[in-house]
Amino acid sequence: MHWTGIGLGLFSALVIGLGFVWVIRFEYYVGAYRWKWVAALGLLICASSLVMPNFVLSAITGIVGGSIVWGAMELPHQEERVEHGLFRAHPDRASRPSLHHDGGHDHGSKPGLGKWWSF
Amino acid sequence: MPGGIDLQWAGPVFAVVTFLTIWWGHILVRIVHYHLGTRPAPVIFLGGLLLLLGSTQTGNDILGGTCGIVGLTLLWDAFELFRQEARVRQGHAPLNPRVHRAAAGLAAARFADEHPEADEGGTCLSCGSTPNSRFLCRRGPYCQVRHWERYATPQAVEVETGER
Repeated sequence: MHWTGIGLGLFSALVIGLGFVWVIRFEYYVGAYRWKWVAALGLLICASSLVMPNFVLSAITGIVGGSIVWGAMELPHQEERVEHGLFRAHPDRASRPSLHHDGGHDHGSKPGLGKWWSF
Repeated sequence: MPGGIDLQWAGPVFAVVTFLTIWWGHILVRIVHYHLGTRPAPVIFLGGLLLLLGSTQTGNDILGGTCGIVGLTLLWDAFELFRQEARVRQGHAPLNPRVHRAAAGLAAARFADEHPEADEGGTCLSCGSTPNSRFLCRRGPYCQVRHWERYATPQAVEVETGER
C-alpha cells in the first residue's frame, strides 16, 4: 500500500476548499480586477515547486500553485456573482475598478451546455 | 543540472493536474447534472473511490499522486451534483425541464406567483379544481387546461388547389 496518492488527494481537497474561501474574501476586500496579479503569484509558486528539495515539498507547492492559478481564473466569475446579488458587495466597491461584464458570461449557444473548455 | 540542483518535476505536474481537474470537474458537474440530474452521483463517487484505491496500488509517486488528486476531486464532484441541483432550484443554473422535475415545478410556481392575473378563476377542465383547490391540480398552479382552446391543434386548412 502506498499512501502518497491519498495524502496528496486529501491535501488538494483541503486546498480547493480553502480556494472557495479566499476567492470570496479576495473579491470582497481587494477586487477581482487584480486577478492577473493572483495568476502571476500562482505561476510563481508553480515555478518555485521545480526547485524544492524533495518530492513532498515540491508536490505541496505545485498543488497550491495550481489551485491559486485556478482561483485567479475564478475571480471574474466571483465578481459576476456579487453583481447578481449572490454574495455581499464591499461598501467601497463602487470606487474601485471593475472588469466590465456585458450581460454576464454564458456557456455557449445551447442552454446549459458549454464547450469542454468553457468554465 | 546547472549549479547541481535536481529539478523536482513533480510539483509542476501536480500543478497542471490540479488545475485541469478543478476545471473539468466544473464542466463535468454542469453537463452531467444538465442531462442526468443527481442520479449519477453514486457512480461518480465510486469512480473516485476506485481511483483512490488505484493510487494505493502503484509505486510511482507521480502516478499515485495524480490518481489521488483526481479521485478525491471526483468524490467532491459527487456531492457537488447536489449543490448544482440547489443552484438550479434557485434559478442560478440552467434548467432542463425533462430531467429536473422538482426544479421545474418550483420555477412554474414562481412564475404563477409573479403572474396572478393568469389565474382568472373558474373550474379546471383537467381535474375539476377551483381557485381555492387549484393546488390539487396535478399540472400545478399554472394549469391552463380550462383554456383548452389555446392548445387545440390548428385545424387543417382546406386548400383549394384547383385542377391541373
